[in-house]
Amino acid sequence: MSSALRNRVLLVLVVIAAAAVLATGFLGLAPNRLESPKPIALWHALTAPALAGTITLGGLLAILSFLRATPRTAVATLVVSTVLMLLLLFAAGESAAALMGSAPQADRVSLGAAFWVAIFCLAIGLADALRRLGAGAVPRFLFVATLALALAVMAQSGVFSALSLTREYAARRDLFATALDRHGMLVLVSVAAALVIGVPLGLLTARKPARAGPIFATLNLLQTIPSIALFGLLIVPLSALAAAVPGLAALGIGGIGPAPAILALVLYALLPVVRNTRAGIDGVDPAIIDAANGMGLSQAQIFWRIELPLGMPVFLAGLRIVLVQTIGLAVIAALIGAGGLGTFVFQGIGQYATDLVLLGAIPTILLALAADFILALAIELSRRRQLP
Amino acid sequence: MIEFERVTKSFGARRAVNDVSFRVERGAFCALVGSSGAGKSTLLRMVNRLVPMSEGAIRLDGEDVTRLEPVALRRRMGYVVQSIGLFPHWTIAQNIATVPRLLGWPEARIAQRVRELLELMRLDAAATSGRYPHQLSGGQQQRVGVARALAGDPGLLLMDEPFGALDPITREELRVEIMRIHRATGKTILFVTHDIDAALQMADVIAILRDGALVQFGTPGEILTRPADDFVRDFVGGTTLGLKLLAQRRVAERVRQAPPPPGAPISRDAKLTEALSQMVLSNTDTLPVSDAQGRIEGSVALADMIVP
Repeated sequence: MSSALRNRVLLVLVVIAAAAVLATGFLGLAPNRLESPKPIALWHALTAPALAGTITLGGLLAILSFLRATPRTAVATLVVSTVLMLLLLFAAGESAAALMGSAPQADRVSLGAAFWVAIFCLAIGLADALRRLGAGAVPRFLFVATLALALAVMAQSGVFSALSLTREYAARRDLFATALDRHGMLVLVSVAAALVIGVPLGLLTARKPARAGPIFATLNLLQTIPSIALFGLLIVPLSALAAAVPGLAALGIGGIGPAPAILALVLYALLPVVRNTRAGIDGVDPAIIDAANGMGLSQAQIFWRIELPLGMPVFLAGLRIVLVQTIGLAVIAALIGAGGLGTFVFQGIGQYATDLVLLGAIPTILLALAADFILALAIELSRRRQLP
Repeated sequence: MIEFERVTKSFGARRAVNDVSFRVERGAFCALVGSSGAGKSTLLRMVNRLVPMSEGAIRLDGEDVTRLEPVALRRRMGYVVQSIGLFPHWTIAQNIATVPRLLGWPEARIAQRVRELLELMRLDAAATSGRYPHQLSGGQQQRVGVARALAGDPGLLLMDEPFGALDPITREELRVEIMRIHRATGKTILFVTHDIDAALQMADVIAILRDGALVQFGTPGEILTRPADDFVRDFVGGTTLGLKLLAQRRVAERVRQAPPPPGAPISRDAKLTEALSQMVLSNTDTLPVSDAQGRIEGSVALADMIVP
């Protein structure tokens, strides 16, 4: 490896993105929403100014990977990557509009592999630059929030309206809102229930380690059941229950629908909640608990005033895992009629309509990333409040 | 007053504390001494019921501790441990205010009490109150630990090897500090230590434990002059026992009204070991003795030190 090369991560990303741009389409054009799109290369898709900008900024990133890594080069990488990301997003929308302007209404312009790879590489490059700058959770959060805001403004002003993904959304605006609400409901109810059950269980395993063995064995076993199988397995007992107990069906409890979905999501969420509750409690120095006992704090006071605040970063880390995991798993809940963003994913798979799959998948990914970011911020803030 | 009556703690077949009985008067400083595993900490932790008693009784001013609710009982006694155990997420002032808050004191009185205690522990109240435990040195942290234990104005202070983790100089400083606080506040103190010299220096009465049993209970003088057995004799000092005895006594106890010899006088409040040391250094067997005002009041002779 040449000694002049200073930032391998950045160079690798530039090479991957360039290869994708050369080999695959930046956009794709299809005669209708079900047919596979014909790839359109970057240099055919983009307007001359956008293309010039893309090549210049990409070249700058390549040069930056050969400069000595200093805070200044990291800032430069951050700025160039951000501008290039926004430019690619804008250019994709602009070119799609141009292509659609001269094409039949049924034609679809979708985002191509080169677009996704380039955006992905830029996101990794941004994360790497932020890490090199030693940015804490707060500045990272502010940066990503600003980027998200810019994206929202572009979407709101109709930059992406010609893209097939946006048109799928436009055709299902109401369904999308319902699905998003349902997805959020599934996640929040499941996570809340997992906390209500899991935190006391975690406390029990911390207080009485002898009980921990069977509890963790059960939760670990649950975790190994494939999610699709668990959703399916719950249909039979819950239908039987709904049939046996009158009134349950009226409450919406049955073999299919949200009830078995929430039950399955709660079962999966329990292990991280219980494990992190226990780890948080166990992590508190026993000498501190001994002193607290010796001064006459009650068990409840020790929990609320000592163990809870001192264990908070670990508890929040558990909540972070659970939220991200549940947001993802809730997609599968659509299989048993629970609704949510998974509905689009499975419809899309059934119809071979990639854009419909993406309409379900992209918001799921964004939700999970947002939950991850917000919890990372909360963890850092709770650490900062509680000095070492 | 605290009374131990046939106190026993069994862990399975092993008796960590075996049939221990003794009594500590109100306001006394009692050291519980023994090598590690002798049961001294266990005995101490049975007083505030952090360890449940197997047999026997511990009475506090005549009241059986097992009749009291543990939480209420513990708020009546201060507790200081070697590991200090300050709450890392609370400021020094909040740490000291723990028990007063639990007792529901008004805020103004709590603030007043925190200031008082920081002064008593010779910590700068203005500079320290708002800091967090990790910003203080080990010695300062344990001063806060003692202040926290005293905050609720308990009649009894339980101290479990409180200075064991500190360096020798800080440890000595804090020992002197505790003796001063004991004199100033008149609290009853139970002090666990494995260091017999610390016990001889600080305590009014000493309980020596061995394998869970009480082998001797008495004043430092009694233990030095009449050790119960060879174990106690070896434990308190073996061949240097005589010197330790001298360290327990003051020059004032041996002053005679004889014409004082020439040379530098020794204070009547000095220990006899100091007098002996000065005799060796000045090649003499008699020293003039001065009183608190510096006036010569008589002399002390080597021969007078040797008599019991």
